[in-house]
Amino acid sequence: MIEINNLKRSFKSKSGIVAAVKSVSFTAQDGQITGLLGPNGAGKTSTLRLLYGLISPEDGTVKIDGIDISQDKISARRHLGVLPDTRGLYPRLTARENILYYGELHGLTHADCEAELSDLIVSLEMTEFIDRRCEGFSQGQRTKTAIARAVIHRPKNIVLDEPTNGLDVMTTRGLRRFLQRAREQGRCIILSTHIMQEVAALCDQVVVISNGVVVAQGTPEELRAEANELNLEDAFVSLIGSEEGLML
Amino acid sequence: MKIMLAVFRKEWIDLMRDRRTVLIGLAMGALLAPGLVIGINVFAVEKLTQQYESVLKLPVKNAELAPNLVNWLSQRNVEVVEPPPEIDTAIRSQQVDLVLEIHPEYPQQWLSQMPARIDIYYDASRESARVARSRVNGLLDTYSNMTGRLRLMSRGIDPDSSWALTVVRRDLSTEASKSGQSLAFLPYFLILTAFLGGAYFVIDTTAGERERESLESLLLAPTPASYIMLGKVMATAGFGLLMTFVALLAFKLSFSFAPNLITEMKLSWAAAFGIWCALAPISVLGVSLLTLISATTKTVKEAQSYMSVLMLLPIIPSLILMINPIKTEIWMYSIPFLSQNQLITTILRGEVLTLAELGVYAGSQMLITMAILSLAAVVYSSEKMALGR
Repeated sequence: MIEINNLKRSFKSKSGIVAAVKSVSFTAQDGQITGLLGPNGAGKTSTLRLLYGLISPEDGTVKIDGIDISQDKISARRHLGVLPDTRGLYPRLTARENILYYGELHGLTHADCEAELSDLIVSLEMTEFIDRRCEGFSQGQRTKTAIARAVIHRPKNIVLDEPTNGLDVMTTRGLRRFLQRAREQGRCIILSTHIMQEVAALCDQVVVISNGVVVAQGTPEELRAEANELNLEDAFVSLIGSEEGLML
Repeated sequence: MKIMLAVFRKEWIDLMRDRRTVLIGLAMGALLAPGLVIGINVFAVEKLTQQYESVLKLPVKNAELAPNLVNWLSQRNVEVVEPPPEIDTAIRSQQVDLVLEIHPEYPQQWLSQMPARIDIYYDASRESARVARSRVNGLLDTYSNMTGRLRLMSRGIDPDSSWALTVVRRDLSTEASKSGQSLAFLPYFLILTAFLGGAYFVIDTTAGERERESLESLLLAPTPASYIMLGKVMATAGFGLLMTFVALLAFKLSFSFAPNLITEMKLSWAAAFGIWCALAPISVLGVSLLTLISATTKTVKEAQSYMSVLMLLPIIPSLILMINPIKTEIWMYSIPFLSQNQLITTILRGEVLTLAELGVYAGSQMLITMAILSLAAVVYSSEKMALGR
């Protein structure tokens, strides 16, 4: 379970101080997929970076399975698997080596990772390229490898920043099946996206972020009702107050 | 520790798979060494024999005023030729190395047994004319001396009475210390190899990792960022040491097999090993410094732009010593580059280091490295590191 309470964070830029995250609170339950929906630049990536403790908040708390990340970053991260916005691989290592390296960074031996890795190879359909060097991987192969390395330590909580960005239909469907399976295993999943289909297809809970503020949250149905629109897409546009930056 | 080893192992595999870069790095040290040793020798030997044994063409102005001298010179491998019309310009434009001018009063002074005047025109800043100059000086001294002794004898005076002193020069330099002298270029080359040998890989594993966008994931590992950094430092310093090892081996072998060395250049296995140990700290120090630099820079390009400055660093202490030579003192063993220079020179001269010197050296280098590494660890753990801004 991930509890986020009143997060706040701003950045210095050339044009002055930009408040990227003004006030974000939500709770992601185990056994659910929570979608963080918002237009580009709404503060999704910054919220996630605060969540996994890459940057520290000016105010507010993040608790991963009850552990406050600002107090004990290292144990909190043991409960967390992250696919960040930047998902570079080591081009001179094979996909398998890339994934096992992250297992080692979590203190696991290659033998410890054996079972989970063969599971991931099947569920993410990686058999074909698992022992190839990552140089020249397609976007889909790269994302799959990056997801596998993020979850090789079997984390209870999984955070993905725009996981289907740039993927083709087949890969996207495979990825959705993977996430649904993780939900069935009772894991807590948070994903950010600006694609509404994804929300409709996957999410149990939706948190709509615009301009660094949570403007609405609930199940897709609740959001539709709140905005008084029949169509999910119209509901989001009405909640965010603009069509800018959303994708169908 | 387990994490550090995991990072070390991964970086080492990653690095070794970059075959071309590794080979170029190692080959530079391995080929440059024999190239330098053999090249310099062959060139120097050739040049020296050429200049000392060839016929020296000597332009002499007013040669007809000193026929005896000209005759004597021509018996000693010197060919007297016509002087150029403009002596100054001819020397400045390097058409001739030097010109003798017999003074118009020379015959008269000679006959009256006064010192007869000869002018030598030359450019002291021309290294290429050095041999010709010393040959002419030597010949003129011999001629002057010889004639003077004959004059004394003709007056019934023992010519030896004109020598008030007998000076005997006893050179106490050992064979090893002499060869140390002729290996003056070696310390800088080796220090530079050790100091910057791992540079490319440091930049690649730090700034490069950020540029390839794999750093964010790496820093999310449940471990202090400093452990990850130390693993990388171990791997890259290891490569620096490997490069130094290859370079030393290449020197050792090229000294053993190079033909016709002008001076004895010797490097025993023990000395080579000693030098390698002496260089280990600078290797770690260099890698730490570069880690700090590339952690604070945004891109690989920016990190690389520091390289030209870093390459000059090892020369600075040697330059200061060259301008202001002082005797070896214990504090010198605490200054990076200067200490390595002293250590290598001492080892090459076949002298023994005291425990105090070694202690000061090891302690100071460790302190400096630790200070740099702690700074780098702070940068590594900061938000800036992961975000690159």
